[in-house]
Amino acid sequence: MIAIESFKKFRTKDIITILTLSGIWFLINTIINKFLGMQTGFAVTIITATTLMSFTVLLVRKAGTSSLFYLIGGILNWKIDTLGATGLNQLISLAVAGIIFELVFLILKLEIKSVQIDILTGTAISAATIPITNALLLSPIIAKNMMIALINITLIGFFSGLIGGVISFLIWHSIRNTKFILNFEYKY
Amino acid sequence: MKIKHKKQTYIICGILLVISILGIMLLKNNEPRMAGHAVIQQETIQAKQPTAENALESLLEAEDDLKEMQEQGLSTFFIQDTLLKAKRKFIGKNKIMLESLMYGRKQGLKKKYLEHLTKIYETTPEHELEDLNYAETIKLTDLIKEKKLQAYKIIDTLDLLKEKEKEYRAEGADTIDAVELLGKAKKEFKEERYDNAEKFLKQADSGLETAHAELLKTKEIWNSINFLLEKYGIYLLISITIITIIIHFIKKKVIE
Repeated sequence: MIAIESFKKFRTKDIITILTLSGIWFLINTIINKFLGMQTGFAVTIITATTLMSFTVLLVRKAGTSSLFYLIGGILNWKIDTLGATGLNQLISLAVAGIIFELVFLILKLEIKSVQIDILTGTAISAATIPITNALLLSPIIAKNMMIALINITLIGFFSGLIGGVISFLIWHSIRNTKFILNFEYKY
Repeated sequence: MKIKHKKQTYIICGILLVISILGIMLLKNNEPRMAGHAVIQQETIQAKQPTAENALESLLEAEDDLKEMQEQGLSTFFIQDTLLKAKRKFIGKNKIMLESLMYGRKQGLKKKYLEHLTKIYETTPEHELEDLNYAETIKLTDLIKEKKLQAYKIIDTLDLLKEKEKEYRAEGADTIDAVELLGKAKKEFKEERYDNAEKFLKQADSGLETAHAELLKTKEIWNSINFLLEKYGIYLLISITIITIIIHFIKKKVIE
């Protein structure tokens, strides 16, 4: 079942929210790039990106939010390679991740005990696709030869994405009934 | 009811977080090679297959070769250039493969080296990054090994030829050309033009052998003459005297 209700026009404050959260990601990513090593940096970047991305989706609740968030994030983080690539390669891998998230989010539509499984699954799967896309852009033959290493890093991406999804859900769950969020959601 | 529902939500989230953290820890810390416990697969890495592990091992061997050559006091500009090229071919244009290789690997020489490669990636200007190619990395490290062996062979040959030259010179052979060629070979060797050095060494060796052969030939002739004089000297003297007397008488008769 596709969630038709998610196809709505973006409001100005939606765009501002996406831009702000992408900007926050860029700032955190700059710090990660400076202070964390490659391995930890990768996992922390995925956790940060997915936390902010799924939080944006939970706030905005419209199709295209994650793609827009990742695209803006990809442009802002153009020169930062904490995800394993820079520039256009990173932008493409983030765009793919965004599209994958949208598909899972629109098709799955599953909620268990208030936990939005569609967003968590989408976040985790989309995060897992980032290293795969990066590797395929680098060299499909080598990606094939290094299948085991790639599966390993993909799983790390998946679990980091899941952590990000859960963190953002917990934050959203604790503030969703606040005046600020209700105003954001229902007030024009 | 609402509190129970909230509790269940937190329990689900808690379980998901624990699973994720355990998953990452497992993948990061345990090591059946780089696969962690996630994928346990029997791999048979054949020698010289262009895999990441083989390329990494080749790079480590090349580092040892370079160090060994530097300890020997040899010039290593070419080796260093080739090694850097090999490293860049191993790193590629983004560091996703380096990251993949680092995960699930315990602290050790290979992990340290991967960290060193990461630093190289970070300090290399973007336009100087090369396409990832493990086969090329192995090829370049093989070239380094080949060059090291060639250098050692040249050193040995140079020493041998120097000894030979001394020996032949002491015997009396004309070794001036060979000495000049040896000097040229040494110069080419110092400037890391090993192929040229080998060419000059071959020429020097051949020159030494020719000079020695000529010396032996000359010595043989002298020996033959000495032998003749020693054994048949008196007969020769008598014969020459008789021939001279005969010629003298003939000459006298002809004039009369």
